[in-house]
Amino acid sequence: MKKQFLIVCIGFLLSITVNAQIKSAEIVASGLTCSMCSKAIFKSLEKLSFVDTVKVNIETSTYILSLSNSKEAKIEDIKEAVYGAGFAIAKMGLSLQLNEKVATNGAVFNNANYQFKWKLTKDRNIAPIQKVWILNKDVTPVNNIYNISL
Amino acid sequence: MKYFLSIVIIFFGSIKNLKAQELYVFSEPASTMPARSVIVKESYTQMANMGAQNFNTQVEFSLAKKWMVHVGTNFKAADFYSQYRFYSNDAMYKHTRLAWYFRGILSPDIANQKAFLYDGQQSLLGSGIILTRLQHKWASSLTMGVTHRKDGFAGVGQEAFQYSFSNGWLLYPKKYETYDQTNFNFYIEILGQKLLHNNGYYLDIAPAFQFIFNSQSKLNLGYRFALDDPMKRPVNKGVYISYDYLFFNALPKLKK
Repeated sequence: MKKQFLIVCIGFLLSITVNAQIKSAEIVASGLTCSMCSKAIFKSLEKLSFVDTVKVNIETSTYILSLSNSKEAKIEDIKEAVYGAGFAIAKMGLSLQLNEKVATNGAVFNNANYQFKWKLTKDRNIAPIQKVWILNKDVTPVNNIYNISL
Repeated sequence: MKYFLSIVIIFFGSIKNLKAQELYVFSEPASTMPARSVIVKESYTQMANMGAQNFNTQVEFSLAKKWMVHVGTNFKAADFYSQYRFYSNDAMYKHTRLAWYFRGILSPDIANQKAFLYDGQQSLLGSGIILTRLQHKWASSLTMGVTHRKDGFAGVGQEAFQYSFSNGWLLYPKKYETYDQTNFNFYIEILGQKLLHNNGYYLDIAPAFQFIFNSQSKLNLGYRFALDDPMKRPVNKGVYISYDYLFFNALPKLKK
C-alpha cells in the first residue's frame, strides 16, 4: 500500500513539472486586420488545454500565452489554433527554461520534448528563462528541429 | 460605368487613411469562417418597386479550416452554399486568398423573367471562384461564376455569368483596444450579371453599413439598386437588413 502511495505521489510530482521548460509563448499572427478575426484566434488559443491565459494586442495581432506548468505545451497545437482560425503566424517566440548559460551557434539541444538549434551570428550569454524566436517558415520544424534565435 | 468610376475615385480619394474590412454584406470573401464555428443569420429584404418582402434564415457551418457550408431557407425555397479556400498567402496585415464556391437553390416557383434571381424565386445551380486581397487599408474581392437555371425563359437560355466586386473599410474605431468596441464599417459592392445566350445583363451597386458588436455579431444595413438594367427587371432596388451571431468553437474537433 505504501509503495503504491509513493508511486502515485511521484507520478503526481512528475506530472506537475512535466512542462516547466516552456513558460510562455508569444505569437504575432498575420493575414488579418479586423477585431472579429483577432477574436477568432483568441478563442482558438484560449481553448487549448495547456494555456492558462491569453493576453492580446489587437492592433499588433500579438498574443501572449501563459502556459500551464502541469500540462504539456505543444507548439504544433498552438500553430494549428491560429491556422484553424483562418490565419497564419508571422512570428512565434517561446520563453524557455534553460540549463545552459551560453547559447552556441549551431548547438542542438532538447527541451520540452522538442529539439532546438541555435542560429546566431555569435555565441551569447543567456538567462535561466530565455525568450527565443522560432525561425522556421510557418513554424514547421525541419527534420524535427526548430531553429531559434535570440 | 462612368457614373460608377466617378463614385469609386471620389470615395477612395477621401478614405485613404482608413483600415480595410472584408466582411462583405452582399457577397462572400475568399476567407472562410474560423474552423468549427457556427453562424446563425436572419435577413430581411424589402424590395421597393412591388412591395415584395423576403425573410431568410441561414445557418453557416465551418466544417474544416478551409471549408464552410451554408444552408438557408425563406420557408419556401431552400438554399445551399459551399466554399473551399484553396490558396492563402498571408503576411502582416495583408493576405491574398482564392476560394471555390458552389451554390444551389431549390424553389417551387418557375422563372418568370430574364434575370437570374438568387432570393428563392428560381431553381439555380452555380459555381465559381473568389479572389480576395486584403492590404491593411484596402480589401477588395472579386467573385466570378456561372449559374445554370432549371427553367428556360423566352429564349434567353439557361446560363448566366455572375460577378461582383466588393470593397470595405473600418470607419470606427480608429484604434482597436478591446473586443468589446463596436465596429462601424462601410462597404460598396458592384453586382452584375450577363446572360450567356442573350444580350441581357444588369449592373447593380450596393452600399452598406455594418455594425459589429463584441467582435462576435453583425448588423448589416444595405441598399441595392440598378446602375444599368436593360433587362428591365420588375424589381431592381431594395433595402437589405441582416443580423448574424458567430459561435466560436461550436463544432467538435475532427480526429486526425
